Amino acid sequence: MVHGLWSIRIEMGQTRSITTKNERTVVHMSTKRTGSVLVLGAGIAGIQASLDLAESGYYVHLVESSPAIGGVMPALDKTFPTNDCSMCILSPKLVDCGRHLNINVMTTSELIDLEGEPGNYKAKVKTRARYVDPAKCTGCGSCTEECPVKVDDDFNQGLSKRKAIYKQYAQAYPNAYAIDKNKCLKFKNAKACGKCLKACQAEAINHEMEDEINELEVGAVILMPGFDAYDASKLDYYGYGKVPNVITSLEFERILSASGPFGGHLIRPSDEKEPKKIAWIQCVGSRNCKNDHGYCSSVCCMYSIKEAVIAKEHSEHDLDTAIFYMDMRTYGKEFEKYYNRAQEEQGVRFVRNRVYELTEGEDGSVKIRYALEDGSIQYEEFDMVVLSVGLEPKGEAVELAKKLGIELNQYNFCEAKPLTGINTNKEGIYVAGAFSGPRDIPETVMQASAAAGEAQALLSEAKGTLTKAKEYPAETDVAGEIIRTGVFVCHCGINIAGVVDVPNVVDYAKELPGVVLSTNKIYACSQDSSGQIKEAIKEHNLNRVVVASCSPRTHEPMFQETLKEAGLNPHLFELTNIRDQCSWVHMDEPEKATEKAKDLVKMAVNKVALAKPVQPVKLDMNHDVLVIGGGVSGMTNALNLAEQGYQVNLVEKEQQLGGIARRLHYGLKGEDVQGYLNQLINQIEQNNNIKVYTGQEIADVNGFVGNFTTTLTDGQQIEHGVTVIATGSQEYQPQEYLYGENHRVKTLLELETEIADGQLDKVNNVVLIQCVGSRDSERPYCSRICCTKSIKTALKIKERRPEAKVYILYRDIRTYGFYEDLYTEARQKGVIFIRYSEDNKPVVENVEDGLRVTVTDHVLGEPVEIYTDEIGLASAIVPPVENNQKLSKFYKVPLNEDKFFLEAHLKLRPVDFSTEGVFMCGLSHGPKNLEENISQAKAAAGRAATVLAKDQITVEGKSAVVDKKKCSACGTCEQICPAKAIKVDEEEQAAVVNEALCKGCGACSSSCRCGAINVKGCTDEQIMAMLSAL
Amino acid sequence: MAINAAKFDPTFTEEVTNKVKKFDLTKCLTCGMCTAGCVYSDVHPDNDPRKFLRKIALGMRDEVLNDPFVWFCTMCERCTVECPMGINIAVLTRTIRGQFGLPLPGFMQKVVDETITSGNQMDVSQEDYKDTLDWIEEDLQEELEDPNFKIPIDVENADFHFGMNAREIKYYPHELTEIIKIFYHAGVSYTLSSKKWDATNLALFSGNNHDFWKITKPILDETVRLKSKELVVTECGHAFKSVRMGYKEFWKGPEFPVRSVLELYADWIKDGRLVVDKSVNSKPTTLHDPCNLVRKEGVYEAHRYVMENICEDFRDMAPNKKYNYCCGAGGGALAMPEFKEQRVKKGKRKAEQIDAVGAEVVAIPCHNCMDQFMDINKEFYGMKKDMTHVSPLLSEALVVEECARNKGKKKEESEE
Repeated sequence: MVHGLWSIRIEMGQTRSITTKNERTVVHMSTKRTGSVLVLGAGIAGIQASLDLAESGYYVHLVESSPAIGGVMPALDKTFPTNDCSMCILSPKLVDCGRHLNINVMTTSELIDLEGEPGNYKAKVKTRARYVDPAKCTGCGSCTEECPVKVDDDFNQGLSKRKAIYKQYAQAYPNAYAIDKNKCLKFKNAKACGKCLKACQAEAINHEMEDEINELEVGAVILMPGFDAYDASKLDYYGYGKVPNVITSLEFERILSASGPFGGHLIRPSDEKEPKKIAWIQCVGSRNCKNDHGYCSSVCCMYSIKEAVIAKEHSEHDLDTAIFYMDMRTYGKEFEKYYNRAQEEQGVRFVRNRVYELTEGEDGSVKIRYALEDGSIQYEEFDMVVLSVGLEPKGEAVELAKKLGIELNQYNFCEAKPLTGINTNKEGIYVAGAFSGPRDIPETVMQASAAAGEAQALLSEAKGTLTKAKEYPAETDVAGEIIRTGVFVCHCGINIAGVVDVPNVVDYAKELPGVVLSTNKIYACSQDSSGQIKEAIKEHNLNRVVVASCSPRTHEPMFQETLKEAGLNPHLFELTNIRDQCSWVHMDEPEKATEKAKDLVKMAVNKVALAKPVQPVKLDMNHDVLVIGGGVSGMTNALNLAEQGYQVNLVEKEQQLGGIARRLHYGLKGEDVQGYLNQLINQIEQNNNIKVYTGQEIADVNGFVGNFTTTLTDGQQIEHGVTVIATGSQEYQPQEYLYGENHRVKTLLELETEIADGQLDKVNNVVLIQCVGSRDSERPYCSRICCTKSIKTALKIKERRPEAKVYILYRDIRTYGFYEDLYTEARQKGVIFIRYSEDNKPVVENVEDGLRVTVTDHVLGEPVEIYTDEIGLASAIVPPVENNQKLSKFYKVPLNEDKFFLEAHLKLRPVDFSTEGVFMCGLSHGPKNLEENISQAKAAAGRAATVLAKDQITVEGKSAVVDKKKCSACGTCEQICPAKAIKVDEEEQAAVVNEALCKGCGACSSSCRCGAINVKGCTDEQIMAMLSAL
Repeated sequence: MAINAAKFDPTFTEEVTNKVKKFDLTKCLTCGMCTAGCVYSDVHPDNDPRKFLRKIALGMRDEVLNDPFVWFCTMCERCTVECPMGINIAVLTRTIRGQFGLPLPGFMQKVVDETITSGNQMDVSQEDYKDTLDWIEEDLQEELEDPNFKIPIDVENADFHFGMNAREIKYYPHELTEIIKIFYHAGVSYTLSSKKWDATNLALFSGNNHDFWKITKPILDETVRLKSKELVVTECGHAFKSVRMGYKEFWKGPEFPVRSVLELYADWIKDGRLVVDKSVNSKPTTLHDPCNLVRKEGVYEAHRYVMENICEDFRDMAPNKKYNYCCGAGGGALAMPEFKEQRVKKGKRKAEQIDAVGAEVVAIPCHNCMDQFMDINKEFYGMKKDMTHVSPLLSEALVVEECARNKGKKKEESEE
């Protein structure tokens, strides 16, 4: 199981070496660097980094302290801003990670020591005894039923009980139980119990199991141990643990969750009554200098809005929700719209006040006395109050970091070194996720891929030295066989079974034509279920499989993998969605939902009967890269991929490299941006693997992943396998506040240049106005970096001229994470912050004495007149619309409403497009600061490597097929095909499909007047069979 | 009228900040937690701590110095005791009051001056002091049937030096009698001072540190002169706070503990020196938490423990301890009669707390608060409530014979 050098077993407190070097070790000793990486922590960051590395040719040891991988995500209900079910989007990754040939998952394990140097580390990993052998355990749960010891279930935040032998959560990988040694009776008295031993048919339980220490050779280490939630009981004024019905946000997640202690029924835990009024208290353990949590936890504003919105959806009556906050920090992509919708459409109330105390009211209610901004006092009672607890580093991680000599910041977070995104002070040791600072899932995933990218660049010479390839059993030839369909109906916990009568659907399916097996699964996506499906295929000689569960978008590839592992062509499969399209939308009509589920299953059974094997198309892979955009993001990306050994073509439309960073002087942490930029450009120019094209734009694009041909404006053609879009964004040209009319009114970037040139060294008054062109009806998004940027600018002015008065007029200060410290520093240095509201914006006027700004002070409620020398407008970051639209068409990648590029999934695929082989990073994705762009650029490199590492490109093969006899060569299909995959062959007088390009969208098929075109896996015949089944 | 930002004077903010370095006001997030925390911010106008703080942060010198808030604030510290930025409004109020040359309203300065001259805030002469103690001593000799009973004055090496509130000499000698009786029954070693016996200090509220130290230093000096092991202060919040503050911030002499007499009462009940019978105090009784004793100096449990042991029907008011409401007369409000209207309005909120708990007796371990509670009694209850200090209730509950027996035991123990 363990791929390392030595396995040392601790016996009676003594250590001794018992095994010798294995074969693999010899192989990698011949290279200078080790082609494996130790990933510490198996939350979403660890899983993502492991998958990226393993797919790119590196062996991964994934070390996780708990008994299962997954981290915090499995415990969350829905995720913002897409409202996707957290477990549902994570589950496929859990399975992929769990069964990946090149990922060694080590649960109940911790890194205890690390020696060596970048490229060659020896890691000592201690694996605590689990007392259940995961290789034998089937996850059946008989043991837990027999276990007499009930303990608080940590996974459910103590809201329910679990047993001393337990599995962390239903879909856990490994799908194996573990024994809580401190609670198990048998550890207290060997004769005491042993019921689990009797119950376990698989003989997987062993109370004698011992801790193990293994030494692993790895080339790099990525630290992503995650975070702890702030202990709310430390703030006694919020009464957590004393006032009933004051709960934490994590508890609330479990209450909302369908897999939670109340099955998703929104009740308060103290008396199980349905609340009618819920309040959220923000900044519990964040933005609190008094208890050394001066930073902002970055995620709480969004998760609270999400909880309020989802709670409203869960509630049968009109639920009143109120969020008490100081600054609403919805700074991420699509967040501001989510906030606006919550406020305007869903009726979530937002109250700007930091709540002083929570006291017990009548009937378990919680009383809040709060102050509005005008100073008036309100009294309200809520049925339940949720404390939005902040994030803090895990104690064990802090200890480990200190032991390894990893530098931590004042809050004990392992903040990345400036302008690296993910580097620690030690080369070869990277950090990602919340341990590097509070951050949300997309940024965590981004950093994880970035760390993977950086590790790949370090270890490129050892790529592929330690990995193995997956082999599937030979495909069964089903041609001519009688249809033998197996139907698996998923409960999805209660997501489906809570509404749909699953046993009824199972029985119904048994009678359908061709069905030889029909059964149910609690979670069809769990590891044990896929094993059972494989066995069923063999046992019942199934040649068609139908799973009735959730969305093909998230789960189809996983089930198809199961078919492949069982020797069946993956297209002899049909996934029908009886959750999103049935149980969720018809939750009030269980009987009708059951009937609908039956119909859906019936249609799928009829369709699958006509399914034919589809063979993938394999094409050669071009391993070169095209990076579009020579700003910091594009250059960072190019450099990383070049270091990984790939040939990179870097195209920049200007004559010079550098992009918008050429206008930056001061980094947010005081970095010398110009110095950094020159060094980066220098590295690009020196790198033999990078070819730079300046003064060029993209004129035309042909091809697809592995085989792109891009034509530049000067006619040069570049052949490449992967495209990275890093085209950046621009500064909005303000129409407001006398910009362009009075020369003293400037944008922040203009002001920055003047500061750098010393032009503001004698200034007396400067006013900086926030949200210019952002958060308005035209551009409803937040430009994210302006608050921090303005504060940094204000501090710079104060540094150069301490007596200058600097005013920042803002709507919400959004200095998330450690940038909050800059906000604190600015206040301490005398920068005056005045909040204005959208309906009462500052007024800028030319007056006799100069330039006057009038703004109403948010506390005193009176207008303040500021006569100022300079005005800096924090103007929005806007995408280059035409350019983006052009590239969007060329590479068939979408833009969002704001005309930034839209990733494949906002949560889990932040740098990918659904179009394979195309990635993005930097400001083309949306507003971000330099640090974040660098991280994202590395992430895009990490992700691109997963494609570049393949020898061949495999296209699914579900393409359109032309019946030449029927085709009239009219050319309609050619005009309509968005993928440029179909052309009329003049000689043959028929349309011809390029299978590699065809996406199987069906546009040609449905527009063909002759009925000559069909799509493999979705033929007219199949559609008709589905319809006639009804 | 718009505010002209040109008048924002950063030197003013800096001046204030430099005077209250421990509590950096510039960190203020204008979050409003203080406005919500001050239970009196909606009782009458000009009582919003956030607005006051904002003016300081903006450097609005004139507006701050002329802000009625400066005098309305009771300096109870409830608003900012949990301020996440660690700001302290009470300290700010005190600083503005005393360190910017503001004339003090009412008779606050008069009391301060008299305390400096006479050594006590009631301007009691040394003769009257001596006479009162003699009279108490005689009374007690009779009551205790102990002709040898003496009030220890200037006795060196006692376990504690007892500091009083001058009101106990001038207006409440019967209460002082009860306290001395408790000391007698507990069999403890203590002394009074003949020279500096009043522990109170109104400069705690006037904010003038020069005056403040002139008043408090002598009582600390007395503890040293009398070689007492500690200084114990009577049931008076501001006296206790003044001595603690003087000791913590200005005292350079030898170290010794400063405790409230309530803490000693609790210890004596715990160790059996005092045996009590709670059935004698049977009416529903609640307890006020004086800000200067409780919130500001962290004495949360001692007075509560005493009350639970001496009252049959003790009902804690809500909120209590750290979060209890100020009586409404903190910050020297009683010395500013021109603001009586505001003070009485605040008292209503206190009365609501008493009503909510249904108490007939209110124990108030503070002389300053006591006067406010008397006014509350007059205004809202037609004098029907019983407002008392803790000592008389304790004295009432003493089981004298058993105390005496235990006293004998303790004596034996110490001799062993």
